[in-house]
Amino acid sequence: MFEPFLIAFREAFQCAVILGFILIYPKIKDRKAYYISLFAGVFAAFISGSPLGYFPNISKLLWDNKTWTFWRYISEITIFYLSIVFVILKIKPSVFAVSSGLFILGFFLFLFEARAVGFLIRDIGAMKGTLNSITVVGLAGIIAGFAPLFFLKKSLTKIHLKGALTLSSLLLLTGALKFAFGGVSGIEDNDLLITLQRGLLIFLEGAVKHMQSVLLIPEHPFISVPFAGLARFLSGDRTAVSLMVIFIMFPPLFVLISLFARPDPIVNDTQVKAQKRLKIAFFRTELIYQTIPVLFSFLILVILIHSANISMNPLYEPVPAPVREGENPDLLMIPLSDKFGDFTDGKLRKYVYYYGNKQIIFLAILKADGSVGVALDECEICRPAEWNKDARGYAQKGDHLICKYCMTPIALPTINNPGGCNPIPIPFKIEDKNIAISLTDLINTHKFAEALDKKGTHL
Amino acid sequence: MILGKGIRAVSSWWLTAALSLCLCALYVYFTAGENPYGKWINFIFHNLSGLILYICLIINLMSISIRIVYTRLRPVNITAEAIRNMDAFTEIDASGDNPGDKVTAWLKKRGFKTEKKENRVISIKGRLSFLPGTVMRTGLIILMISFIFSVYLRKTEEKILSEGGEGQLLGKKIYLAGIKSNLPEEFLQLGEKSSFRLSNISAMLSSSQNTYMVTGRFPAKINGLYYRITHLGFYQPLSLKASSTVITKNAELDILPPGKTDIVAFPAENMHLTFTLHPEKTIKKGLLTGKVFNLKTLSYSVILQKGKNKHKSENIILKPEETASSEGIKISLGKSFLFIKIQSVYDPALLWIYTAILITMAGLVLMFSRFFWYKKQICAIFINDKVLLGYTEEFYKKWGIMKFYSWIEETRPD
Repeated sequence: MFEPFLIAFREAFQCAVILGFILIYPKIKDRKAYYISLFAGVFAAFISGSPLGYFPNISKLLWDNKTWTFWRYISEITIFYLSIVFVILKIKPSVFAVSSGLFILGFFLFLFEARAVGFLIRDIGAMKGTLNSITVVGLAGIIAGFAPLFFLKKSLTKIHLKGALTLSSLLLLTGALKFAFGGVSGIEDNDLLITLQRGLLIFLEGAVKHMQSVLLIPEHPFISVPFAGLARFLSGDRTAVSLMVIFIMFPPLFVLISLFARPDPIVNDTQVKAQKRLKIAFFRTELIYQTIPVLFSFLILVILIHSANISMNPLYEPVPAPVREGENPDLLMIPLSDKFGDFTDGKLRKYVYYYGNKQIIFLAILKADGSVGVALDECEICRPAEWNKDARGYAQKGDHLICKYCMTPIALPTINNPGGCNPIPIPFKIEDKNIAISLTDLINTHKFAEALDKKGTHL
Repeated sequence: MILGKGIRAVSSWWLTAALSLCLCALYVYFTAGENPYGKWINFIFHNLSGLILYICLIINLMSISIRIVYTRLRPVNITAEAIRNMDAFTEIDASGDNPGDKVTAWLKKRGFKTEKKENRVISIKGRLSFLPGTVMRTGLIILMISFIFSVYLRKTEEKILSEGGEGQLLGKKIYLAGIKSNLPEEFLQLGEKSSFRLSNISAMLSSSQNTYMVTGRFPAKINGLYYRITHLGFYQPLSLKASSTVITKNAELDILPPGKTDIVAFPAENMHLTFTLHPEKTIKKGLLTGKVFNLKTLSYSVILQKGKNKHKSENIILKPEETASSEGIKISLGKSFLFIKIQSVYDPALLWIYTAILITMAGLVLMFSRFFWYKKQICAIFINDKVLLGYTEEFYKKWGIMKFYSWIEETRPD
C-alpha cells in the first residue's frame, strides 16, 4: 500500500526541490505572475500527464515507455543547454515571454513524472485489485511531495542569495538536478548518461566505418590497413566516454568561463579610492556567489558521470571460496578447473583460509602469458580504516585488477611482483593441474602483511 | 537592406547551429531503428530534403568564411561612433604640439605599428589570425562537397585473381603478374583470440603494358582507377574420384585467419568438403594451449560430408599435391596458389577527400595558435583638443579592457 505513495511522493518531492531553486531566483520572486505561471505549468503537467499514463485506453494510443523516456531525455537536455543560449544571447525578455517560458519549464518539469506515476499507480492498483484506494494513496503521495514547497514558499522567496542565481545557472542547475533525479524506476530503467554514451558509441562506430570505406581503407579481419589502430581508438569506448563528458560538461564550463570573463567594473572615473575598492569588492563577491550554483551543477554532473562509468564497467569481485588442507596437511591444493569453471576464463578468483580466528583471503588469476598469479587480497600500501574495510583488497575490471581503496589499476602481468600497490605475492607451484600453496608460506606471507601494518607503513 | 540582412543570415553562426541541430535531430530520429548511421547517411545523400539541408550547410560555411575574410581584410573605417562601440574607450587631453605623433609614440611603446590618416590613428595586431579557422573550414567545405561527388560518381568492382590470371575491372583489362605476401612459416595462435595480421601483401598488376604495384594498404591509382587488395586466400585445384566418376574443381579457399573454415560444394553429387588449416603442432604455454600453423607449407584439415543426411567423414589431414581416401571417395589436391581479391574503384573525388582531410587537420593544428594569435585593435581619433581612444581584443576581453585602462592610467598626470 505504501509503495505507490512513496513513488508519487518521491517524484513530486524531486520536482518540488527544483521548483524551490527556481523560487529563489530573484526575478521570479519579484513578480507574482511569474510563479503563478510556473505552478500553472506544473499543474497542467499533472492534469495532462497523469491521465496519459493512468487510462490504458489513452496510453495504448500513445507511445511506449521507451519513446516517453526518449522525449524526457530531449526535454532535460534542452533545459540544460538553454543555459548556453541565454549566456550568448544576453536578451532581456518581456514579462509575457518570461511567464510563457516559466509555464513551459514547469510543464516539462513534471509532465514525464506525472505520466509515469499515473502509469505505475494504475499498474499496481490493477495488480492488487484495489485501484481506487491505490489511486487515492498515490494522489496523497503527490500532495505530500509538493506540501513542503507550499509551506516554505514564502520563506524561499525571502532568501537573498546576492544574485547568486542567474538565468543561465538556474537552467543549468535545473538540468543537472533533472539528470540526477532520473526517470521513474520500474518503467524507465536507463540512465541518460549511459544511453548517451551508448548512442555516441554506435554513432562513432558507424562514422568511423563509413569514413574508412570512403577512404578505401576499410578494416579487414587480417590484412593490415593504414590507421586501423586510430580508427579502433576513435570508435572505441574511451572516445565515446570523452565525447559524453564533453557534451555534459560543456554548459557548466561555458557558463563558468563567461562569468569569469566579465570585465571588472571601470573605476577610473571614481576619485575616492575607498569607493573604487568597494565597487571592485562588490563585483568580486557577486562573482563568487554566482559561481556557487554552477560549481554545484558541476559536482552533480561529475558524480553522475562517475556512477555511469561504474555501471557500464562494473568491478568484478567474487565472494571468496573457503579452502582447506587436503591429504597433505601442509598444502592447499586449488584445482585449475573444477565445477566452478576453468581458470582459462581469465576471471579473478578469491579464496579464504581460516587460520585460527583469522581469515586469510587470497586471490588467483590467469595472466595473458598463460601463467597464474597468486597473491594475498591485500595491498602493501593501502590499508583502509576499520569503518571502510569493504575497500580492502582487489576487484577485476577488464584486463586489470583494481585496488579498491585507491582505485589504482594493476596490470595482470605484474601480479606476483611485490611493491607499489600490487597485491602481496604468495609462493606457489603448479602441480598436476592444481595450484599448490604451502600453508607455511601462506601464513608467513599473512604475518608479513600484518607486521607491515604494525610497523605503521600502511596509510 | 533586405539583401544585406539575407547575406548576414546566410553567413551567420546561428544558421550553422540550426542546420547542425537539424542534422543531429535527424540522426536521433533514426536511432529508433536498426543501423541509424547508415540510414542517416542514406537520407542525407539520397533524399532531396536531406541533400538540401547538407548543401545549405556547405553554403553557410562558405559564406561565413567569405564574410570573415572580407571583414578582416577590408580597410577599417574609424569614426567616433565606431570607437565608442569598441570594448573599451576613453577620451584624453591632446593639447600641445603634434598630438598625433605623441599617440603614435605611445602605441609604439606598447608594440603597436600604427597607420596614420588625417586625424585618425589605427593599429591592428593579429590581422591574419582568421587563417586557422578559415583553413579548417575550407578543408571541411572541400570534404563535404567531395562527399557528394563521391556518393554519386563512385563505381566499384571486385574480382578474384590468382597469379597469372587476367580479367576486366570497370572496363579495363588487368593481368596479375605476381603476388607477394609475408605469410609466416610459424604462426602461433594462443587461446581463442587470434592476432593474425598480414602487413606486407602486394600484387604486381599489369595494365596497358605497364606494371604497377598494388597493396592492401592505400589504394594505388592506375590510369584513372584506384586498385587495392581487399582479400587473400588459397587457390586450390582438387579432384574427387568416386567409382568411375572424377570431378575436378578449382576452389578458392577462404580459410584465413587460421581457424576459419570454408566449404567447397559439389551440389550435383550431393557432397561438400569442409576445409580448415591444420596446425603443424600444438604447444602448451602455461595453462593455455597454442597452435602453430605453417602458412608457407599448407596443411588442411578436410571433412567430407555426403548424402541427404550429410554424413560426416572423419577428419582427413591433407597437404597440397597429396591424395587421401575417405568413405570410398578419393580426394586429390593439386598445387595450391595464393589468390587475391582486387578492388577497382572509379572515384574522381577521392583525391579531394584525402586533400580535404589534410587541410582540415592542418587547420585544426593551427587552431591551437589561436590561444596566442588573436586580433587586437586600437584606434584613435582627434576631435579638437581631445583624442578619443578605443581598444578591442578578439579574445580575453576582460583582461584586454583592464590592460587598456591601466595603460591610460599610466599616461595620466598625477
